[in-house]
Amino acid sequence: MTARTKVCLVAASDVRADHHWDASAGDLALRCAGSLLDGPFGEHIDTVFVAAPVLDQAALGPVLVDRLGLSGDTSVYQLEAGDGAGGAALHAAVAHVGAGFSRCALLLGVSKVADMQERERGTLLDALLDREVESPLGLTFQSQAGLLADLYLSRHGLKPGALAHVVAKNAANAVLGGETFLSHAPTAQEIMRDLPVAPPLVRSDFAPILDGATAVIVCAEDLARQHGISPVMVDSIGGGSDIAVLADRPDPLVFRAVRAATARALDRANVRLGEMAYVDIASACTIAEILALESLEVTEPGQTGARCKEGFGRVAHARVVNPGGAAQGRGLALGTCGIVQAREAFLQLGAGAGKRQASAAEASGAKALAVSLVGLGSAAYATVFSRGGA
Amino acid sequence: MSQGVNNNVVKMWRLRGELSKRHGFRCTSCGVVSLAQRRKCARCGSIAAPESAPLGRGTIRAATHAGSSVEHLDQVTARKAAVWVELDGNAGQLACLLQHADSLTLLPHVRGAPVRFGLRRATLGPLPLGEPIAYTLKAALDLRTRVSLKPKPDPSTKGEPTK
Repeated sequence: MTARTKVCLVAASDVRADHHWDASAGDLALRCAGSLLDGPFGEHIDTVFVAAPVLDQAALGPVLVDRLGLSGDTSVYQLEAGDGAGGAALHAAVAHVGAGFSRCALLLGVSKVADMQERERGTLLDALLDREVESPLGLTFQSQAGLLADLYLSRHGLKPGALAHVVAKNAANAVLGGETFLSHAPTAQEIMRDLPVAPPLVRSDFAPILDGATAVIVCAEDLARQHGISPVMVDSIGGGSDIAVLADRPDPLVFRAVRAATARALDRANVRLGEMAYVDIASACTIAEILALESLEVTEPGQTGARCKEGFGRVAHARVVNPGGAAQGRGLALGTCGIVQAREAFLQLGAGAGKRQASAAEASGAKALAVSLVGLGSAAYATVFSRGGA
Repeated sequence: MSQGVNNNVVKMWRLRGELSKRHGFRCTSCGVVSLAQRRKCARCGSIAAPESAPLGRGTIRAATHAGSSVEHLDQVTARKAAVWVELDGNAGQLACLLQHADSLTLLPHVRGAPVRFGLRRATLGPLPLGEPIAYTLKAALDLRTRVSLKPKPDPSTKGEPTK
């Protein structure tokens, strides 16, 4: 199953996750995508894909298209998949361009939550649970994540501190990249002393939910070549799903959605996981990243924390995971993660990612894998990117 | 996104009826019990219609007490003790809250403890005036287990419990 048209990324832009008190969702979209529309591909955009969780504004897509001055001949689609909305929108855009239904698409993720009451914002992730079965039991996203983490520690005979090295790795990569809410990269020891939120998980295990926006232009390769650009290719996409009720999964510590999505993406790109210059896992909490990595056999079961303690995953290491720092390091602009990953691939495999550049991604033909999770693994979107030749 | 938007009210009340009976849906092929009614069993894939069945008893395998943290500020809302229960007879698993007002004190010691299920108040403590009292399914420790887990009085501190 391959796309008829080769699909690539040709431009990307970002408004850093933070409190943007003075900006509406429309303002964030303009700040983020305005410069892309003024660039060489702006006039070619025929479709807009918006990733946004449904908050008080239904059908945010047409509103943002209006603010961007694209109303009229532009098609607009909005995708909602919780914190995986960006991954879903990316795949929709790639499939659209690959099938020839669009030649140039703007992919836009916007999160505007700063105006919400703090308690409402803190509970946004609870909407990712199964509202029919899990929520009426009084469970929250944090409690489910805490239970998963406790199960993980008991199964592998680990101490809670084992998880802190994974957070420290993300923080170090984020601070190196300079796109973070963190003032400094906390050590694992500092993280172990952090405020308990859902023991064994602490505050640093959960990405803070902030405002933010990211935009990427996805287009047919021939259009990029016409503009003399050496693009970043989207080699393949793959999706997967799992039982939504966490307790009903045969083994809750195995993320089958991540496995299935990645296997499909790698198979379609005809590559192996070991060939990736880096792996990018987008999740809302540390235990989800750990279980995703172990489900992919990037790390051995129960060993992710110990590997990270040795430097695994950091930008300077031979095997890099989350070079941008992931949501735990950058802040979580809810629903934009899959697009943030596409922007990271655009920088790492193309324009350059500065101090957080993974050296293996600079090689000719280098490839990277991005996996965007929905909640605690009820669905996943995997994408293989590669450095395009001249 | 309120809880009522995505769900059917009638179905929710019927599910509540199942919860009040402490029943779930049991696969007639492999015997796993779930609170979700599915076309296919999550464990064995059987498409035989599930039957209503009691949840029985279980053993706590994991525990946490979760509040809701807001951003990077030192704010955590009221904590609720949650447990992961492995149902007896290889009948599956269930995550739910732990009953008892002193559940947070007991929590570090409950792994491996046997539990049954009961219908109890979802929120402990006082409710705002006029708010209805919501009930939900919770895991309950046996009285004997609770007594054994309680801190023992320390004679050297004139009856003050040891920590």
